[in-house]
Amino acid sequence: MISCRDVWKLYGPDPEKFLQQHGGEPSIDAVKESGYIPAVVSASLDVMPGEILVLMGLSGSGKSTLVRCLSRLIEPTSGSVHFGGVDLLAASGKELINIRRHRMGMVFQHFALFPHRTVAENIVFPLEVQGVDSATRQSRADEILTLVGLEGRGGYYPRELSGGQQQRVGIGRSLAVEPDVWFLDEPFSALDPLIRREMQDEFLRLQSVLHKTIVFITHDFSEAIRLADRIAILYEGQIVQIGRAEELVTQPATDYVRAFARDVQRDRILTARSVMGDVGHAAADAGTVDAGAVLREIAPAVLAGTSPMLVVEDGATVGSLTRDAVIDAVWGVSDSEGADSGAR
Amino acid sequence: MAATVESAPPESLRERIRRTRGWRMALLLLSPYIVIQIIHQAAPGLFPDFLSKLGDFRFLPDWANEALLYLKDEELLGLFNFKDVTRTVSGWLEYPLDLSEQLLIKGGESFGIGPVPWVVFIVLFTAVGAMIGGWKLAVLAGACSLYLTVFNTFGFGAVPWVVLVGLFIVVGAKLGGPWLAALAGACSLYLAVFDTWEDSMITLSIVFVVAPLAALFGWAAGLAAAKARWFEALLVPVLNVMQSMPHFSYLLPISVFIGIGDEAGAIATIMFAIPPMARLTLLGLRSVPPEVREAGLMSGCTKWQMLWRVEMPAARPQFMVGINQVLMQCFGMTVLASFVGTRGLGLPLLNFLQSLKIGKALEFGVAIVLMAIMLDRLSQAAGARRPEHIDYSKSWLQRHPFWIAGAGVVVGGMVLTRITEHAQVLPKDWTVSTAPFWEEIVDWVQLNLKSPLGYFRDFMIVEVLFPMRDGFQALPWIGLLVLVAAVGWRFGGWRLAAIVATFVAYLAFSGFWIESMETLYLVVAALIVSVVIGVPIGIFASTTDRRYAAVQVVLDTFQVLPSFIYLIPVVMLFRVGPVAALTAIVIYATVPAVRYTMLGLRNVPDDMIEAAEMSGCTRTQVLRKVKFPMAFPEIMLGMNQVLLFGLLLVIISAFIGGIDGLGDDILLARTEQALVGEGIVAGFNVAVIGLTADQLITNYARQRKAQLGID
Ligand SMILES: Nc1ncnc2c1ncn2[C@@H]1O[C@H](COP(=O)(O)OP(=O)(O)OP(=O)(O)O)[C@@H](O)[C@H]1O
Ligand SMILES: [Mg+2]
Repeated sequence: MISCRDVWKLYGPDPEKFLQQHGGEPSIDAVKESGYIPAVVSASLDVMPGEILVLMGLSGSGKSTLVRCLSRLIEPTSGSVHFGGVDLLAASGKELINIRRHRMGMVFQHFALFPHRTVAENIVFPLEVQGVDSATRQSRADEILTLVGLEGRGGYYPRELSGGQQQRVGIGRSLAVEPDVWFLDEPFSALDPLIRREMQDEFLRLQSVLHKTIVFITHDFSEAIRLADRIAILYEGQIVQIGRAEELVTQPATDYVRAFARDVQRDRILTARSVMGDVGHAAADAGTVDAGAVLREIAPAVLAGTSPMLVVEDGATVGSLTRDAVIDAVWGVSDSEGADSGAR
Repeated sequence: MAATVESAPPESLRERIRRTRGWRMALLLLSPYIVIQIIHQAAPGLFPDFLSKLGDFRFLPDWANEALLYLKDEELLGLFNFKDVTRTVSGWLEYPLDLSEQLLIKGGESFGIGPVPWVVFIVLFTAVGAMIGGWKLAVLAGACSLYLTVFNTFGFGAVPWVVLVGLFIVVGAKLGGPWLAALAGACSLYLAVFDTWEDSMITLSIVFVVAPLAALFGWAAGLAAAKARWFEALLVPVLNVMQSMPHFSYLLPISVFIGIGDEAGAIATIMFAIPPMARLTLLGLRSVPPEVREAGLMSGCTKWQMLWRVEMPAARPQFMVGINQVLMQCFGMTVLASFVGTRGLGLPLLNFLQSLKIGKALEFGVAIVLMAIMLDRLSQAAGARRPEHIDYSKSWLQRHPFWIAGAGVVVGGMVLTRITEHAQVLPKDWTVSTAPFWEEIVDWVQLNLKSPLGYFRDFMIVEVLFPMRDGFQALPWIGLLVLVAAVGWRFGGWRLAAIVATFVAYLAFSGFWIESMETLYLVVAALIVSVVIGVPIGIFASTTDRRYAAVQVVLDTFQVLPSFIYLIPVVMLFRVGPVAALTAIVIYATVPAVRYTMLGLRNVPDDMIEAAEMSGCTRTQVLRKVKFPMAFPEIMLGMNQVLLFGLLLVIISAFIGGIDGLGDDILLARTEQALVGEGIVAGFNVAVIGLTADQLITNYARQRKAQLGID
């Protein structure tokens, strides 16, 4: 749905010239030495239709900049961005407006509501600028208000709402035109933990109805795990690893990723598949577990039994799971120590 | 980050000088100046005269005079006469001014000026309404201007005073609730009862015409600056100069071209009030959060939609602050424009002051004060309003009580005027005057306090002010230039040093060096007194929330008063001379000293104070060691304001006589057209003095605040 190749964004006096001088791909050190700020460094990724891709990274790692390059709110210094087959960077101003009017939606960290418009007027603003007539807007506003759970608040102004409610309005506005792709830049960071949790559930509920292609930014790993199909980790503008949560935990590409994954509840992420051993001589009567099941679900059975259990996938036995393997994977002494020292 | 620590280069001398602070820094910066002074005093032979005093250069004033004459009498580029242009512009203003006056006080007769200007007028008002208040205000403004059209065509009577008072009350209630309604009612009743109604309405009629125009121009300028960098680069310095020029620098040249009267005052007022609006428009558009702008882009706005549907409405709170300032500037300037013969509340005040009828002057002064407060509070309340959802469970009548009340007032008032003439025009014998009472007090003061006051005045003049003046005038200009440049270099590098040095050099060559020093000394004297009074008040007021709020109200009130007002009590006590001027400036300029001290102290982060308290600081220690250093940059910004305020008022107070300096030259230009060039250059000097201080202090404050990590 979206694919970008070698996207660079440098801040500084004349970034284009600088990139050219260095043959299009300077080393990070060269960039820093010259005083340029590397916000996005040679980023390439593809977002599949209907997928939730979460971008993660520390503050200042370039998440927002990357997403804004994907929607061309920021002009990348170099690279290419394709949106549903269209070369976004070559699109004219008019085409760009058209794409944004019909195919993109975005939710912002600080809500970015228009203070002078009511909730309903905020929500249908994208329709208004397209010139949709007011009766259609009215009915669409009612639909969206119901969808995001704000019935009866259409006439209120943003400042009359709580933070969580305001972000619902932001979400509603970004959905008003039924976009194909949905960008969310830390949509829940400004909310307190309880509301955040609630909004995450809300988000999952919406996605189960809407099936959008989503790029979601967060710097909260547990949020990423709850929501993501795949996670991309950014460090100083670079995408250092991109994959499913389990891959990040079991095969971290760098110590940085390892450090990120360190505090997660591994039993919620790891599946039988990733910790199983050879079928070996496991007893056939010890019981079976599904290869895709997370450890938390199967641990009681495995730990209660004395002999290894069989791991099955699509009816075929693919491996065996011992008590020790589970204990090692979740609380594993050697591995986590290795992770600790590696992180330092 | 670690890299910067490892490879710290050896510190250059420049860096080391830049890091010195406090006394050592002051000494360092003063040293070149001290050297010059020593040479000047000890070995005058070594010191060429022209480095100390430049001869009586008069080329700048002469140029200015010639330029004025040229503009007045010759064809510009052989095409048109500049004076004709200004006369035409003032001709355009004549209609709306007259109409507005007819409406409020004079009663109407038909002009018969044809439909086209009316269409323009209606469109203009509707547009301004739409700009600041959306479609509802646009409809209201459109309806009012339509009414005016009809009014003009058929000629009605003026709006009866009962209706106006009623409307003020209703508008007050709508915008700010019962208290504001009471305030508006009380103020407008005072105007009626103390027989200042006619003059107030004339002033108001001028303000109603000039304020929208100034707002519109300022808004357009601010918009252009927000959209085009080069225009901003051009506009901001112009605004800086315009805002530090004394009022008379606007009034005088304009009266040369247009002649004495309402139009001259109106045009000067418009020009005077444009800068704050332009500034706040620019600020407002710049302060629209980037996310909100991005939300507009992602919604698919075109540039035009972006501007009109996102940026403009989102910046509305700032626009409203701008409108409030425009209104207050317009009011103050209109009052002051009585110096060039503009009618209204200012003219009788001026006359009474000149003929020392203090009682009457006081009544008009109070009228001006009350009107200023009323206009300020109403427009502030309008700006503070935020949209609220409509409760459809209420009936239409319940939802629009104020519209209904307003309509009721108009209809009721109309009916009343049918019943009694008095509702149309308040009869003279219903008005009162407390003038005799005040005259008695003044007489008593003159009789009984004459010697102590006189003694104080003479002491100040002989022992303090004149020695100080002589000291300032004896300064060699090169010494001041070096000093200012050194300070500039310390806080803003060579660039700033060059800028401020140019300013001082300009003063030296302007032909008004002595006068500039004379003005500067008085302002500096006032600055010292203002600081001595203002900073302690600021400290006192910053300690509890209640004091803070109370002082804030007082300051806000003082701030909106036209500067002219400050002369009244001073003339009562000291009549003429530098002490009178000094007192007026001090009263006027202490306001920013208090405000900024208070602001600076209040802005010190709480956790920092708690940290100091936990370290065992006593309250004075907290103040001395934590709060004061943190607040110091802000207090310095306050000094800056004190200076700018002082400069403006020192010029106005030249009118009470007995002091020399730039103000005198400016005022002379009022009566003698041949001296207008001098007046303009002198006015420009005032601006340059102000800008020098402004550049130095704001740069210092910026640097220091960055070091302290506050903004
Ligand atoms: N307009 C700009 N000019 C200069 N540098 C910028 C600009 N915008 C962003 N940067 C820099 O680019 C880098 C990436 O910023 P970005 O906002 O994308 O980070 P982020 O990952 O979204 O961080 P956060 O979690 O704080 O939102 C940062 O170092 C930032 O300082
Ligand atoms: Mg961000």
